[in-house]
Amino acid sequence: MIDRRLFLASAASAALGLLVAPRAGHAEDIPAASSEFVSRLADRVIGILKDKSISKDDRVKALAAVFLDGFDVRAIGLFVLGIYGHKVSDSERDTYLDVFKEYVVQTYAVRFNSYAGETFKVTKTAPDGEAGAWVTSGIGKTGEEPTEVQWRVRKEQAGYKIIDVVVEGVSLLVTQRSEFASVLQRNNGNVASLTELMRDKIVELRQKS
Amino acid sequence: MSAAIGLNVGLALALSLWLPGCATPPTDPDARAAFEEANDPLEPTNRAIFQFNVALDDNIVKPVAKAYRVVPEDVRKGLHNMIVTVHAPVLFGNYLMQAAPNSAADTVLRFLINITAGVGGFFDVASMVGVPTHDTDFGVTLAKWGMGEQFYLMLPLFGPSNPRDAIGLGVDSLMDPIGYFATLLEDVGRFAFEGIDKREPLIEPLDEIRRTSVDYYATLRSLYRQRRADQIRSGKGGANFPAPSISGPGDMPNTVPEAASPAEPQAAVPNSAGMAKESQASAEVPAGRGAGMAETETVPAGPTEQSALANEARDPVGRPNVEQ
Repeated sequence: MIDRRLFLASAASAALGLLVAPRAGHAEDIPAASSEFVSRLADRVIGILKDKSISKDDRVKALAAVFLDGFDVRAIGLFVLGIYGHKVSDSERDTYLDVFKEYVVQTYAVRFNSYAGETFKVTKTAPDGEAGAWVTSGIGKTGEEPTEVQWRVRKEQAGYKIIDVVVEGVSLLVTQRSEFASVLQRNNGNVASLTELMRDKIVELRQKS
Repeated sequence: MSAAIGLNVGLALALSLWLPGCATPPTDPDARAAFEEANDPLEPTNRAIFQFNVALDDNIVKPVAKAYRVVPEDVRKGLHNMIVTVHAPVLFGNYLMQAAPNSAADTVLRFLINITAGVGGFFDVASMVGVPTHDTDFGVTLAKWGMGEQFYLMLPLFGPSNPRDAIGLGVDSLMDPIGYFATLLEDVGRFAFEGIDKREPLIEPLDEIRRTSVDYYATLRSLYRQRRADQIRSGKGGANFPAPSISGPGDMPNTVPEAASPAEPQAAVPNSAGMAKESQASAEVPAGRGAGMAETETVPAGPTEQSALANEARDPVGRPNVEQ
């Protein structure tokens, strides 16, 4: 009797599985994939930070590579120009984007260094529009209250990319855009002068690091 | 903080308003839009005060905060807990005014537990037994009542602020019963100590921001606004961040981001963040923090009970400059 009931139950669930499974497999689960994507990036960063065999220079290079791989630096760069973005000439924009890339590598990728010894855990994911997701994570040393960091991920042609990071209500993108807006406003909207300023900063940061 | 300090804030406010140096709104439409978004009509004066604050910080506040690290971390934490504990009446009053009975009740409970079992507030026993921490102030209360920030204001000594939050500082100090018992000297001492307590955990984060930014002043202005907006939302999300404009997957803009159009600065990915956050907000305690356009300060209706742990413990960017 028991066997038969078991058989029925398993047959039923198998049938249900057949009904449900193809559908689930069809639509890509963007939040889940985003979460996996962010976790993989974090694993790579943790791996680099743990590796004591590489030199400091190589470590920074490796971290920068992860950063450029994970973030859509071009989209971010264009976005943070804000309202001044539509005035810029093509060549000026391309120079700006090149320098911006170097600038964010120097400022943000290097920051990964300070995460040494910390753990990373995805706590929550939520869809963000049609092709994106918010991945919420806790970062911190074991035993301490983790800091909540939210990653805004979007599915693009080149794969999944991070477009913003939010820590305790503060968006990296919004902050960067406000800062640039201030610089541009004081320089009559001249993107080239912002590029110059970033160049100076890069030199300064390289000297100090 | 005490009545005396409150007066000080009033004076500072008056001084900043009086000082010459109102920025003239630019005529160029782009510059004008940026000017309005920055909402900093006193910028030249504010920058001057900021320079003064930074100099004061470099020469006095930060060195003292660094020296304070001689004190063992456990002791520093205990003293911090005491500061938080004796601040309870101000929190309680604000939560009543915000019609947040649960947070008000937690505040009373925390105070009673910590002042007794926590030996005068030194040990945060309340957190150990699971009474959540809260933080608020009269600036948040005013915001919840519907008052906007008005405009950005750099206060001498206190750092980033705005008229609403400056009024908040003054009112909070009037609500603080200790201010009525302490002598002026005791008041100043307590104020200075609280400043060092706040400055100490910010030494590295602020150094880093200053080191990497191309406009330190503008960065702090943005950070302050975003943090305050988050505190006002009680760390629950509820607004939405702008995003680079890519409607579908993959199509990278070759020319101009949609969000760069002055007409619709936050056109892209409308509200998806906010909605996603809100649907989650009820589920977890410090949920869905983030997701908020910085310069707009929406105050969602509803319970404020999920007040951010972050507000209390560390305030990595809120009012970061010279808190002396």
